[in-house]
Amino acid sequence: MLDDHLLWWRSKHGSRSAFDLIYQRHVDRMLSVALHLLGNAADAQDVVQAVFASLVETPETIELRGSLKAFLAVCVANKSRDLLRRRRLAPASRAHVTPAAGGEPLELVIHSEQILRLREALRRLPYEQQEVITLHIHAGLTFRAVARALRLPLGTVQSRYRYGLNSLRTELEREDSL
Amino acid sequence: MKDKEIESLIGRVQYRNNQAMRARIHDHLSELWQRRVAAPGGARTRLVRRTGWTKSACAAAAVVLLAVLIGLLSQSGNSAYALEQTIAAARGICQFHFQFHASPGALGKEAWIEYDPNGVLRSIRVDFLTAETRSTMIWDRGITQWRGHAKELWLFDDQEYTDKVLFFARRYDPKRALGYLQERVREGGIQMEVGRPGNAADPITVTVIYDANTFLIDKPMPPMREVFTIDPVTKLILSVRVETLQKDRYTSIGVYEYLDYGQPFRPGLFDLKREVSADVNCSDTTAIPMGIEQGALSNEEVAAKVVGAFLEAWAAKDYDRAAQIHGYNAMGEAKSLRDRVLRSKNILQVLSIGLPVVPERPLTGLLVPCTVQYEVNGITRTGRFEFRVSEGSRGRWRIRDLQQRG
Repeated sequence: MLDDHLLWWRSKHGSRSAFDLIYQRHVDRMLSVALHLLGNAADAQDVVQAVFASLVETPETIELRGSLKAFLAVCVANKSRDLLRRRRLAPASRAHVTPAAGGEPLELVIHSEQILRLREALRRLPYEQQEVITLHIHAGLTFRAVARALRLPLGTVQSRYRYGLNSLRTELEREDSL
Repeated sequence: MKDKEIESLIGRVQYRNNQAMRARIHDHLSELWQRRVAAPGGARTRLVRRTGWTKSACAAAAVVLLAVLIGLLSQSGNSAYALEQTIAAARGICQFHFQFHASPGALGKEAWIEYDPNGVLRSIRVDFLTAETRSTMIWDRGITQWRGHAKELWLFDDQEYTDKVLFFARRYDPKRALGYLQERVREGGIQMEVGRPGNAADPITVTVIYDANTFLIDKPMPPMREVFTIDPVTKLILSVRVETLQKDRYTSIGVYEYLDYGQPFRPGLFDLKREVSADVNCSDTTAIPMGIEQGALSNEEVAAKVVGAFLEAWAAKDYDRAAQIHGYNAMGEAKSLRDRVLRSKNILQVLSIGLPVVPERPLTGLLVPCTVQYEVNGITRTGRFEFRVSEGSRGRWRIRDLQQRG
C-alpha cells in the first residue's frame, strides 16, 4: 500500500489517481468524524467536501507535518467547530438531528437502547470534550496526535477526554440505576 | 463501568454514511479537478518548461514581478499586510537564531531552532546566561541534554519536559508563533492588533494583549503584552518585546531579537557532549527504563500500578528500584530522592491505594491517593500520601510529585 505522504506528494503535483486513492482511503472515517461532531448529515457532507476540496484547490498551502489522517481529521474538526460557532449553536441544540439534504435521515449502524442513550449523552457533552473523544476514538488519533493537532498540551487533551468519559459513565450508570 | 467498556460503546456509535453522500462529494471534487487542470495556475510549471524559457529568463521574470509587487505594496502602505504573509515567509526556512535581552546589552538567553526539510521540528538549543554563568538545554528529537552550573551533563527523555520545550518553541519560533497566536485569539482570552505605520518603510507591529492567566498555559500570570516588530519587505519577525501590566502600566521584561533566518548552524551545535570538558560527568538516563510500561493498561490502571510498585520497593528498602520506578532526569535527583525521602521512613504496610483522579490545571497526569503505615524513630504512624503520576517516556509512566497529606 502506498504511503499517504507519497500519495499526497503525487496528488499535490497533479496526480488525479493519487488524489482518488486518498479520498477512498479516508472519506468514510472523515464523514464519521463530521457526523459525530455535527449530528447532521448535510453539514457533515459540506464540511468533508470542503476539507477534500482544499486538497485540490490550495495544495501549496498545506504543510503536512504528521500523518495525512490526522491532518484531515483535524481539518474536519476545525471546520465543524467554525460552522457551529458561526451558527452560534449551543451544544445542546446539536441534539436535534435534522434530516440530510435529499431527505436521508441520520441512521445508526447499530441500534440498541444503550447505544441510543450513549449517543444522546455524547451530544450533551461540552464540544471540546466531544471533539477529543471523537478524534481519539472515531478518527483513531493518539492523544499525542490530538494534542499536536489541536495545539493543546497533552495533559489538557487527556483531561478533556477523562472528564468526557466520566460524564458519560455517570449518565449511563444513572440511567442504569433507575 | 470501566473505561474500556465505555470506549468500546462509543466506538459502536456509528452513523451510516451512504453511497449517495460519498458520490455527491466525489462529483464535486471531480469538478474542482477539472477546473484545476484547466486553470493557468494548475499547469504553470509545465507551461514554463514547454515554452523553452531558460531558467535565467524565469528568474528574471520572477525578480521583475517581485519588484512590481513590492512597489505596489509600498505605495499602499502596509494596509495589505496579513499575518499569513509572515507565516508564509518563514515557511521554507529551517534555521532560526534569536536572543533574549532583559535590558539593552543584558543577554539572558540565546536560542537556535532547526527543522528538517519536511518542516518537522528537529532540534532546539537554549543557552541561559547570567554575568557569571551559562547553562545550556538542548532538545534533539525527544532527548534533552542539560548542562547546569555543576560539572554534570544530564541526558534524559521526558515527555513533560518535552512538552515545555515544544511550548517555548511554539511561542517564539517565528515559523509558528503567529499561527499559534491566531489560534489563541480564536479560543478567546487574547486580542491581537496589527499596527499600520505611516511610513511604508517602517516596521509593521503586531500587538498581542493577554488577559490574566492566559500568557502561559501551565502557570498563573498577570496580564501581559507582546509587541512583534515585522520587517515591511521580507515580512519576517525582527523582534518581540514582552511586557507585563503593573499598576496600570506595561513594563518591559525583555526583548527577543531574531538574528538569522535560514543560516546553517555550526556542526555539533546540538551535541553538548562535544563541548564539555573531560572532567564533566555525563549522566545518561535515557537507557534506564524509568517507571512502568503502560502496555494495554488504562491510564488509571498504570498510575495505580506505578504507585503500588514504588511503595513495594520502598517497603523492601530497595531504594534503587524505587528511584527507578519513581523516575528521575539526573543521577543527582535519584540520590536526593533516596536520601531525603526514602531513607527517612520505614514503610511497614500499604493500607490502601485509592482511585486515580485527574488533577486541576495546570497539573497534568493523574493523582493517586494512598494510605500507608510507616515507622520513624521507632514510632509507628499512619499517613496519607498523594502521588502525581504521568507519562514519562516511550509509553512508560512515572511519579512526578509525592506529597504527604496527613
